[in-house]
Amino acid sequence: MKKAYLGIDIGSISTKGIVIDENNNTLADSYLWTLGNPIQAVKNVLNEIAGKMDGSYTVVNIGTTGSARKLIGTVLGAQVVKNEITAHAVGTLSVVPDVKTILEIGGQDSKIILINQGVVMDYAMNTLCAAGTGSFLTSQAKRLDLDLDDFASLALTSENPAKIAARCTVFAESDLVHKAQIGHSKADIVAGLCRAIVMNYLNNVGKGKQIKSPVVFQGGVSKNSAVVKEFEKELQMPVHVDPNGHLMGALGVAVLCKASKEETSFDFSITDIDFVTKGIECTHCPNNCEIICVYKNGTLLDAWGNRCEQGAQK
Amino acid sequence: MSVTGKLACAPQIGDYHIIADMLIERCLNYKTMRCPPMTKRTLEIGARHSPDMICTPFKTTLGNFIEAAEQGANVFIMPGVGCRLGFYDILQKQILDDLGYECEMIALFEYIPTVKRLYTSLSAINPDLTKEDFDTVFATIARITLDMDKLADFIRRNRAFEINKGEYEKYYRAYLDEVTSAENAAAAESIGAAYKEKIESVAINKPNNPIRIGMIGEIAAVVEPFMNCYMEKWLSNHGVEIIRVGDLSTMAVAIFTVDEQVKNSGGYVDYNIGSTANDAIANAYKMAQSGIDGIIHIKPSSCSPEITAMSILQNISRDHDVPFMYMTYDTETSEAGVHTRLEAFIDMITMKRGLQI
Repeated sequence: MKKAYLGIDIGSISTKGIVIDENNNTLADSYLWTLGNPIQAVKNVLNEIAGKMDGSYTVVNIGTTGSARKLIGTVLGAQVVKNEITAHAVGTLSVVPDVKTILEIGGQDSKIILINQGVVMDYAMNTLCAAGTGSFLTSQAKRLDLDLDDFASLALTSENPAKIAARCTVFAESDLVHKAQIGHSKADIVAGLCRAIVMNYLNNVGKGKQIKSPVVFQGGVSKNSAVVKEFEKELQMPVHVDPNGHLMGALGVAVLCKASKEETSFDFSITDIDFVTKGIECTHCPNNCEIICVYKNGTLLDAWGNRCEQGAQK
Repeated sequence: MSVTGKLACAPQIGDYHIIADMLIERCLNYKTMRCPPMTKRTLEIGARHSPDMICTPFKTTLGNFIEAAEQGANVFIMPGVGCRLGFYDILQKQILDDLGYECEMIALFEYIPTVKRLYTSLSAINPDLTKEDFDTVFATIARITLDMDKLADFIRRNRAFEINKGEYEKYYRAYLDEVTSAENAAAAESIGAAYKEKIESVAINKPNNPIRIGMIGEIAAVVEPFMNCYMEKWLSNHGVEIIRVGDLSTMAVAIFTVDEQVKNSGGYVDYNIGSTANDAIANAYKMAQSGIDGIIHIKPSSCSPEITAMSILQNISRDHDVPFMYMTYDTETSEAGVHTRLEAFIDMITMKRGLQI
């Protein structure tokens, strides 16, 4: 049997999975919506991957990343549970070894990673709120009655983008309504919004960072060609979008798995096991810690979230 | 003899309430109580009764006071110096009055950071307080502040490597318990020296060149673990040596020696930019030159001096090739988000050193 490594990236919006061999070649991948149910999403991803896998490989190591990495890491018994910043950097470096800047705008967060000679030198992540991320674009597209795909192509037709205040989604939305009501065309508004996303990103996440070429742009928003064009215009350098950009986090943990010494034998039939999670609020003190319990076929597998021993689950 | 009916309470900012308590008990003869340990409820109550856009320490200290008032406290202690925090006592007293808690608010320094001023404000409340007695008390608490900060600093540098986990904490707590009964500076000093010996002899297994992270920023966010989501604990658990500045003794020195801090900032600031921000920059500059692996700058939401410091720190980061991470805390900060960023920061430094993560 040849060895393979499974990486799963469970984001707020989408769940990505990839299996690689010893040489980082992709053996199978999957990209599905999380739809608010990370465990089910992972099961679906695993089923899809299992169907695509060549029988001569066996998965010896599993890694998880993304905002549900801890939950899914527990469910799958993962060896590597890594934050998405490290995972994206490692994944991207394995595909574009000379990358200097990674821009990433995802469903609920955005980040910038600066790399020099294959080593992460600096990074930043949005703080406090989700202004200018994918979920904002989606909700605005819906409000304007546009498909996300039409959104970009319509924006690209604009020659005179409207100026939209993008510092805060609440202000951006009222500005958007205002521009529509005083008569700006939909194309100009949409183009203005794409530009606002870029300016917001550069002024907040990218503040004070020196962006050097080659630049790679990832995350769900990178699929929007109008935003890519605005980035190129603003940075005055080419911005690369890999068609597999959405898989970089998953690829990153898979690569990290390969480096991990621990090996296991992973069985895709795990998708038949019943996993249930329960969120409880500890009542021992006014902290009311939110404790997450994970049950496998009815027995408690793991629990976390308590700040002190009082909240420990047996 | 304590003054009848007075029960004083200082806010929770690390362990410094013991200093405030000693000062109040010994100079004013008031009884003191510790405010209930900070929890989510403290933040919620504090935020509910505070102006929305005010900085987080206003909300946390007000929350402390309300919870203490519920348990009978009627005298509240604020420093009365620093940035605009120096004026918070006035508004907080108004809010507490409006909520129906009849109380006395003591601003220790009454907006002028000198020892003489501290004596003036305390003797205005207790006319029997002689300068000699005050000097004894002040010397004692100054000694304790210096000692506790030194011991804590040593512990932060070594906690990650202690062999029997929890030993440092045990000794440090015992020191704090014992030292509060010290009659004078000499007694405090000998208690400090005894614990220094104990703490320095705790068995550790420290590698030659561990990852070293600096912590700088606004005092309440740096010092109070609840505010920064127990960042030090996380770092220690991940094998990091922590070099922290911005505790009470360094801050006191910083406020008295602003010109010195500006001079030591390597030309990054030309004039006083307020409160502890000068100190943050001077120390970041020093750390950057010492070849530290990374620096974490911590501030509460809407902290004006530290916001000013941030743009200057970016220049230090670029010129000295030291990564900085900026953390802002408010009443709704999630621990998961903090841990994600910390883990990425440590991973980055590990990779930079050419080690396997």
